[in-house]
Amino acid sequence: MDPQELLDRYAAGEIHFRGIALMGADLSNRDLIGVDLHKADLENVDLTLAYLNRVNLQQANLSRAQLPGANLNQAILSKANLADANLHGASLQGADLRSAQFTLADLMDANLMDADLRNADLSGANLTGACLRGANFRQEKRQYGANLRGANLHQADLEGANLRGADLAFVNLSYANLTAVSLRGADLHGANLMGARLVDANIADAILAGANLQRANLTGVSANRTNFSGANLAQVQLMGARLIEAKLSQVNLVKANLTQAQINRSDLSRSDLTGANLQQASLVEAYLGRTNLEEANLTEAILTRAEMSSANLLNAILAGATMPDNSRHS
Amino acid sequence: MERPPIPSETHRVLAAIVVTDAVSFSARMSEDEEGTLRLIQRDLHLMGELCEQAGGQVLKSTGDGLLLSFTSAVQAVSCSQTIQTQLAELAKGRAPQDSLQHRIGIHLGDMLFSHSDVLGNGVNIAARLQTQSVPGGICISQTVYDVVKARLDLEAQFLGPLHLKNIREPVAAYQIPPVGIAPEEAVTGADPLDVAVQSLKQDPDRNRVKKLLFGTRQSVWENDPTVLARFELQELLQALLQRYPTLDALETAFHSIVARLNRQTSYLAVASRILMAVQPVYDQRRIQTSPPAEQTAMSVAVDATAITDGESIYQKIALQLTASPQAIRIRKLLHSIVNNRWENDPAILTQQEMDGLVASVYKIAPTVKELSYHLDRIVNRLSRQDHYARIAETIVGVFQQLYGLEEGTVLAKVEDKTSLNISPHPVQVETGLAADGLAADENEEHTLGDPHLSTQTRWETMPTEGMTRAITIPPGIAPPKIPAEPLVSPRDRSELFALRLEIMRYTNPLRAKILLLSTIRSPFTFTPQDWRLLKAKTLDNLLQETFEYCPSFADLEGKLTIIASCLDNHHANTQAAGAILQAMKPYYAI
Repeated sequence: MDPQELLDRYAAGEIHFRGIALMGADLSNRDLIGVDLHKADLENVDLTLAYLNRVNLQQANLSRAQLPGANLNQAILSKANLADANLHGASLQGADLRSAQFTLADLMDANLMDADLRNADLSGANLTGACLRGANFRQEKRQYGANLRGANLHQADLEGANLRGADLAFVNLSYANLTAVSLRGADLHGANLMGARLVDANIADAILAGANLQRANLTGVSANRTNFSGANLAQVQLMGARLIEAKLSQVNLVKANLTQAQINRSDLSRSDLTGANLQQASLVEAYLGRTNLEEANLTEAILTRAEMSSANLLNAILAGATMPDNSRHS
Repeated sequence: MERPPIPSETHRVLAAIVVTDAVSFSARMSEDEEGTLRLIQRDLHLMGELCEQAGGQVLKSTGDGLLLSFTSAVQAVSCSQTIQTQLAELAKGRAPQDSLQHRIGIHLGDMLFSHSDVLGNGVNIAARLQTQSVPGGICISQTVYDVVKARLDLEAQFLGPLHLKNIREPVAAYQIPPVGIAPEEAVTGADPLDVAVQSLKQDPDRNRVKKLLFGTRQSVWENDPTVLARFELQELLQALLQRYPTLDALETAFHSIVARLNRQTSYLAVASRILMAVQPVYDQRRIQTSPPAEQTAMSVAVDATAITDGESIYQKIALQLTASPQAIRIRKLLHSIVNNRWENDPAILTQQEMDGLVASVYKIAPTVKELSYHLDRIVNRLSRQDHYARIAETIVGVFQQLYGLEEGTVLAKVEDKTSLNISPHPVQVETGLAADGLAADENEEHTLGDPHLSTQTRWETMPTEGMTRAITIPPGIAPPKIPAEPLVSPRDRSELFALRLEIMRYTNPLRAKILLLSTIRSPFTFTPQDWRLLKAKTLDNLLQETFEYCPSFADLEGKLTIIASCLDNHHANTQAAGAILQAMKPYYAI
């Protein structure tokens, strides 16, 4: 079928075009709202700024398709192949993208609000600046989580998104907005979270080993049992964070702000907390083997039963702190 | 400034178009061919050089003028200003026959390059605007004005919508006066009455103009065209202008006639157009009789305030207004109410004492409703409307003391029953009692009936803190400061997630990016280079750059609106521009 025929028949009221082949057709700026293109072969088609709201593209082949600025709000794209597709600035709000293939796709500045991305494969996709608020990546059962391995989510907005158990290893999330996201149990090892905003996020049980969190804002974060070993947390904001039983060994926490953080029973061995602010932090039973606390501010911190015999406390401020033996430092 | 090379076939380019023309060139040529030719060559050469220096392009010469194009409206206007300044500089100290004067017109629009020629409606408009300019001045379209007003300090005078020859729609335009001439004089260079008559003759509703003038003059409504044809527009206008000494008086006369008509809305519009047209005539009258007029105004004010001992209510208000950080803008607005013209010169503005000004304003606007009306009327004509609207609110707030009990006003203590007997004119009332006296007087029944209730409920609805205190403090104590603006501080621009969300929610992200890139750079052309450039910047980057590029919201609004209408798919882009503006507004200080 040629594109004109499709347009003519659509204009005449027809909407079912299941399985049609329109490879490389130019349909840019066209209005095809609500059309049924189930299993259609649209490889390399040009749909720049097309209106495709509520279309059915289930299992369609859209690999290498040009879809910049396309409006795909509430479209059904489940199991569609969008590998290497260009979706720059496209709008996919509330779209069904379950099990869709987005490998190496360009989704820069795309609107993916409330999209269903369960089991979608976004490995190596460019999601720079994309808005993923309320998007659902949740892993329901084993082997049914979204794959974002090696994706670029620089400056992406994921506020409130559900990324529980998602695979985000080595993902670039620098300067992303992860406020109130659920990353519980997610794999973020080696990820770049520089300057990211994780205020009130839930990252309990997540793996952040070797991740870069420099200058990130983790105020009020819930990170119980999270593994940060070897991560870079220099100048990070962790005010009021819950880090109970967190693995913080060999972590760079230079000048980190841990005011009122709860770090009970965590492992801070060999970590560098030079100049960190730990005022009123709770470090009950924390393990501080060879921890560097030089010039750290531990005013009114609670160090009850903490193991800190080998810690470096040179020039540390301990005024009013409760010491391991429960005595009050003056 | 890089410009794409002009290909030989027809293509369109959005540009700021400048057209210059020498005044009475042919006449001068007939008198002294060689001399005039030498002068025009010198002037055109100078213009060309200045244009090139400013990054513009000389597209063509008409013999006695040039057609210039710029990629930036700001450059076009500032270059034209430089041209006029330098030409005036050259003419200084020479005999009139040893120099030429030039008119300049500027418009922002599409130019059509067809082979080696330049055409297009945009060029025609610029050329027509040029004819409307005064010699040595610059006439710019509203479009240009909107783009440049935030960037350049212009003493531009609004000329109203002009009906240009062969241009279907009226073009709103502004006049930038010649160097060293106040805007007022520039516009009224010709006899203002002639100008008014000319513009009214071009009015699309000229029949109604005439009917209204006739009706007001004769107090009889006449629909018969043959009768109307017997009267010249000019004589009608002249008679009316003689009969009504001020613009306000004329306005009142119009309104009382219109009130008796069926098509009131149409006629009110006609009336306001007439008033706009004749305003310069009244302005000129005032200038001519300026010193004595100002004197009387002053002495009236002084009499009215009756400053004998202690401070008067006017002085109190004046003090509060002077204490505001926006004192000079407040002065401008008040001055404008009293003198019916906008004044920027601080020397003139500070000539009149603030309390005298307050008194004069009170005379013109004896109720809060009228004050608000006058302020709105003035603010609506200004470029920084939002800003001045806020200042107007401040003024109304402070003036409430004079007007006493209006809705939402604070009622001060009313136990002092004696104050009820005091005259309603605050002028004769001692400080402290003034507000009470007025308030109680105007609302006598209510206050007497239930003083406690009214006192209490009204205290809760007090509009501004500064005001309440102003009423209750004893005289002699410095008045409190008016709450400083802005009341709502602009949102933090360090992270723009909320802004991006807002934009994406209401428009297509790609369209938003295209519009923003077009605004800060040049209109997007959908070429591979432009796509690459768009890919290189995130929406976040573009928004940050836009904030830098557009220092004020008005600036942003002007630029985005224009760009939206320049790009293909006008409707979708206008929608996107609206969404962007709505979302970006809270990030600007209003």
